Amino acid sequence: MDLGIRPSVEDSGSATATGWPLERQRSHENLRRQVARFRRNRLAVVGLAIVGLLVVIAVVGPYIVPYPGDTTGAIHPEAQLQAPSTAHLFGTDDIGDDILSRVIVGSRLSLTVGVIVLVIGTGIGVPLGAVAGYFGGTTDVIIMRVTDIFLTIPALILALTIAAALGPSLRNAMLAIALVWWPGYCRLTRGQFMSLRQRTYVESARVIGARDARIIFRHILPNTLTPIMVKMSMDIGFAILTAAALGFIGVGAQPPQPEWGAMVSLGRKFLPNWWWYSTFPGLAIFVTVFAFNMLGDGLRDVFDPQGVR
Amino acid sequence: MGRYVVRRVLLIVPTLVGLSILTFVVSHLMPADPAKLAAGPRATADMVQTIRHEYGLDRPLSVQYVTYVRDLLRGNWGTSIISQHPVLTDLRLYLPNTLELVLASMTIAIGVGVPLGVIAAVSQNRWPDHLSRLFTISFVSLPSFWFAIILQLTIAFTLGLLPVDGQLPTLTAPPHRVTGMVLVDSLLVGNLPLLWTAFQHLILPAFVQSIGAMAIITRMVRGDMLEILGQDFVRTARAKGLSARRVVLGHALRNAFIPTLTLIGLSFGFSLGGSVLVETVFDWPGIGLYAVNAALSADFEPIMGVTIMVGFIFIVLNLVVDLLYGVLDPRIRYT
Repeated sequence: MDLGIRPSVEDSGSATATGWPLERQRSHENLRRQVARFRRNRLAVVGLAIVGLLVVIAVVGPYIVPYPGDTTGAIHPEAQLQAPSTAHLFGTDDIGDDILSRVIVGSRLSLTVGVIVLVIGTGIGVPLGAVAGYFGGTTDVIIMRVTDIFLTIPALILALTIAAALGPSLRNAMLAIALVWWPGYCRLTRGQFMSLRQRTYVESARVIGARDARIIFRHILPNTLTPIMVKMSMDIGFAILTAAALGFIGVGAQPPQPEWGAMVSLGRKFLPNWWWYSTFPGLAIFVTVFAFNMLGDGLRDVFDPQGVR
Repeated sequence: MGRYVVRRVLLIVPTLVGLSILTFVVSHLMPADPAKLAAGPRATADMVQTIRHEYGLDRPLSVQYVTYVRDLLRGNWGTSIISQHPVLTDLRLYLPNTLELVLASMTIAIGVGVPLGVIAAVSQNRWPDHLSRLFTISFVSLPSFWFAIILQLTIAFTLGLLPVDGQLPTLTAPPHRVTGMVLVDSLLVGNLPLLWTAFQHLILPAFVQSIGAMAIITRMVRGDMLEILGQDFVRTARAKGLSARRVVLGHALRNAFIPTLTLIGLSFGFSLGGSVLVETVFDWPGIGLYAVNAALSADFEPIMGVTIMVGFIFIVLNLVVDLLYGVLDPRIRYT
């Protein structure tokens, strides 16, 4: 990775043949090894490619869709329920909207939901887990009890209940899923903190008189980032899947929002003759989640090979 | 052993309490004022206040919580607006159907997943292994509701091989109710044609429901087998001259059983949760469909009832798995 930067001659005394100090060189090698290992996993590379494509589609999509008006539910009675053709690659729905356009714009919805759910979930779970793992004692017991209770109820049912209580909308569905997701991150972070707080460098920091907050943020947290990011990459696919499931049930995004799960649900009325209505949005969900899972699997393989393979 | 059992059983109590607190909190999340809703749009402030007092909604939250728990324990889980029946009655009616579906799907998941996992482990890094990994990730990524629809389209509608939906054909009377599970009851009653129809209706939903758990079980069995196959006692057995099959089945598999047991328990719980989607697509009369219909009609008591029931089942399930663990692995009893 030649960035064109060269260390000055008076740099650290441990310069090696390449001119970089030893620590820097080691982390370069580390990164190169990790990248090589990732590339060997063909499925993961494919996953990365598809995810990249999806992000591009989500960002650029609304500007390049063939029928921009259809994405917000414009009514075209003359074009109702047309089979896939060159004019409408995915066919049209019951109000005449082009399904391909709606699926493309829906990608933006799905990806946003996935990201926001994870951000909120980690935003709640990681700090709570850090506090529980670092301070231990009663705080730990209380936080763990709460976590356990959330983990007792299957995710979809709890999310369904919360979303139904708050009222059907995409925003409430996101909140509901985030509330179901944070316990996993709390547990993970807590485990990391519990093992790391025993380390010598933490002891040293405390001896010097560093405050707890500083120790948590400056010393321990950076080392927990890798497992958390691996978990996030594996979770984003399921977050999107759960959001689609809630949309399918009807407590997530509401029409005319082009959310994939909701579209699959709407299309059910038209089975089997007008099969394309449910098929293509669902296919989009599958491909998206599959790509994220392959990517997450590959990342986990690189960063945590001792895990269940 | 007895001490372990008692200790473990007592541990559920705080979890159950926690569950009730969680459901209590969630049931109070509703932005609408339940008293106003009950009173109707033309009620005066006085009428709303009367209703509030009648339902005990003006008491402090802690008192309301105690009333809530007391009602739960007494079996008063509210009434469903749609069915006009007590929620617990409805749940007793629908729960066996969900259990039937979940049990069938777990059977498929284990029956297919375990052998696949063993094959994948034994042929590590060769093509059967890679293929199984592809399948595993695919199955876990499939939206179950979409997969269900695709199977409906292809197998039921187009090929006509299996029924489209429902637990039984319309206008067919269910068998005399013993367990509440149609398949089991028709077998018990001896009504073989009914048993066959019920079986046909069960296949697609159970299969769709099974793929998630199947994928995870395959991966886990593979991982465990790989770990065990690398251990010394396996090498010893091979050196003794035992055939590969004897080693794999007799020695290795037995040791992989314990972690797989936890997994099966967990998968059962997740199947229970995910059954919501499969029941909706196949119009299967279980508690999942009950909850969904209630959610769409803003009928809140049934949803809470389903959540409590599923949570309770999950807790009991974890307890059973832990106890079985203690039986199978004596080391656990003494920690």
